[in-house]
Amino acid sequence: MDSFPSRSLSPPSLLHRKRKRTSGESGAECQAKRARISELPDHLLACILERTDVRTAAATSLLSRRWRCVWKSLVDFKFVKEPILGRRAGPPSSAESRRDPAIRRHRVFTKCVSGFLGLKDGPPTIRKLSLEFSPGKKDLAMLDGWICSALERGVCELELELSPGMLVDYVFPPQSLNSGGYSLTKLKLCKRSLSNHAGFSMFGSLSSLSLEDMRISKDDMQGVLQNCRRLKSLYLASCSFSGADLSIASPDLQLKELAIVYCAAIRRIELSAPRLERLHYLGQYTPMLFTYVPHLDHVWLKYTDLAGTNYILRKLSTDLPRSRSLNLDFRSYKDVEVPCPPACFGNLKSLTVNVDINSKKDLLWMAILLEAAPFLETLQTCVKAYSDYYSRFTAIPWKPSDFVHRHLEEVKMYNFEGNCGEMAFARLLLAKAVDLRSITFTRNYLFALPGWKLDHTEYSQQWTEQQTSVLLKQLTEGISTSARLVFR
Amino acid sequence: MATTGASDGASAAKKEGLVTLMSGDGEIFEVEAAAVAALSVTIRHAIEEGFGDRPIPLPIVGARALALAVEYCRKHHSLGGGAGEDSAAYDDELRAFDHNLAKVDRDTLFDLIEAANYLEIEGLLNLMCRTVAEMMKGKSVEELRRTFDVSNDYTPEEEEEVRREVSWALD
Repeated sequence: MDSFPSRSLSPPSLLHRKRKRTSGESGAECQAKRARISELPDHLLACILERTDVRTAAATSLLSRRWRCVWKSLVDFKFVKEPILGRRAGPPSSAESRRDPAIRRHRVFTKCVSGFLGLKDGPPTIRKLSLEFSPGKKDLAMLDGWICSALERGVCELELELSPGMLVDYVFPPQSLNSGGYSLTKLKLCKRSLSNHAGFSMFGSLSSLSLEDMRISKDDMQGVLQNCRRLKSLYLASCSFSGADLSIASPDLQLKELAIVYCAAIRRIELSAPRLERLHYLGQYTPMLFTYVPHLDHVWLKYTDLAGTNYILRKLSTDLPRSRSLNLDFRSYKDVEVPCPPACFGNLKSLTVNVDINSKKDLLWMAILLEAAPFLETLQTCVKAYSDYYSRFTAIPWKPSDFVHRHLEEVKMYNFEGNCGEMAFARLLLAKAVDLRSITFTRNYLFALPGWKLDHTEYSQQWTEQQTSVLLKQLTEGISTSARLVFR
Repeated sequence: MATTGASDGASAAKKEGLVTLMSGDGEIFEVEAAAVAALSVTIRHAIEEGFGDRPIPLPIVGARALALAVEYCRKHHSLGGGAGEDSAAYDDELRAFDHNLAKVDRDTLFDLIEAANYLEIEGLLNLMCRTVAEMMKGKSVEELRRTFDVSNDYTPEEEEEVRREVSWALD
């Protein structure tokens, strides 16, 4: 029995309900309105300011005494040339810039960065500085100056993205840097050349390096690896490597994470990294030489070509017999070579297979990966078919042997539509995996996100009871299993 | 119309899966525990600490802000499973809900920021802070003062000094 008034909340009634007044509030309205925003504690004002641009944040120091130093508690500063102007723009300063707003934007940008970095009594901590603009030839010395000044102020993360357009050849790091002592831990460079003249020796503290769209020579790469002794994470995207060989090899490398993303035209990748734990490769198949990677446990491979598919089905287990978790993304749109009888993944516990294929009619070939991984505990699959109707049907030529799997516990089949190929594969799992605890069938898609994360889409349509009972019957007919079958 | 029933709230017959919240101004809300616990760290902890049977007091959260925050939790729990904006589950309906929620009047906006901060509802805090940030962007100092009713308490000398310091940000 409800002895006190309670109520259910429904949005319309609440949204339109008048704000309850406390006594005294109505009287106060006659006076000057109080600035509710200024009553927020500093850290919440900082939460707001860090979501504006640097110029707006700095300008708030003029509002009132309360605001004088709030913006100085920010630690991350991003200067982007385009949106920096905003509506605050005053009149153009000369006839020239009236004709060309780009010139004025450029002038505002440079004034802003120079002013900010030149502050004597500015924010005490600059943790991260990001600069995004397209420098002209005459800006390069200034850019060097900014970088030096930021480093001298102890910036930890530096992101430099030079948009193309009037792109000139700019090399990093600047010549004028004196050597060493910088606390930089994260560096991201986009669209420029790397220079080895300084050998990166002053960046010994660097733990994370991200290079995008850069030309990198063999010596540069070697210089980075030799000098950045604490480097834990290296991200290479759309880079070109002179000599077309990429060698990440050094006996005292601390590197734990390596991602190579769409770096076309690499002929060969050599990896010899004693502490490497995670490898993420995305792009066309490139031969990889795993010279010494004893701790490489987690490997994500996404191949966009058939050579990659052949590699995964024929050779991967020979190359990486010790990895613990694999995330494989590949496609099969015409005949692939007959898979070799697989060598053994002696440690593989978790496998995710994301495959684009021209037909889902026969998926039994996926058992090759199970046979190759006798200690596998969890399996996730997401099979996408181009078309089951008009493409020539070419299954991957593999018939499962009479194997029994004793470790597989949990299976999730994403993008499950209940067609015959999927059903046959699920039945194979139910029959062969004697310790299977559950299979989840879902229509959601599975996809990888940057930063080693998997996510899935939510398919709005639920399974109906009728659908699941039909599927359940088909799945378990003639098979005795204690596994839970979940439809989600 | 506003209800106050704090004193006898505990004696209420509990419905399954509900939790009772008490706003700073004494209003009682009965809401689905699963939804608010999924989104609000503060309430999750309160429930874990055994507050499930008694009203959870939320001293600095006003009734209106609490009602809106609860609605936010409920909506995001049922539609997005509590996932953030980067998630694929963040669909058009949630986007529209957030968009509408951000249209509240200015005082409520700041109440909601404080509420989201106190209740530790990350998504709501982010949404509201971003809303205010968007209102600020590109405005001149005078426009900012007008928008947020801030009165200038600098002496002319002080103001001149601050102006010199941030002159690079002003034109």
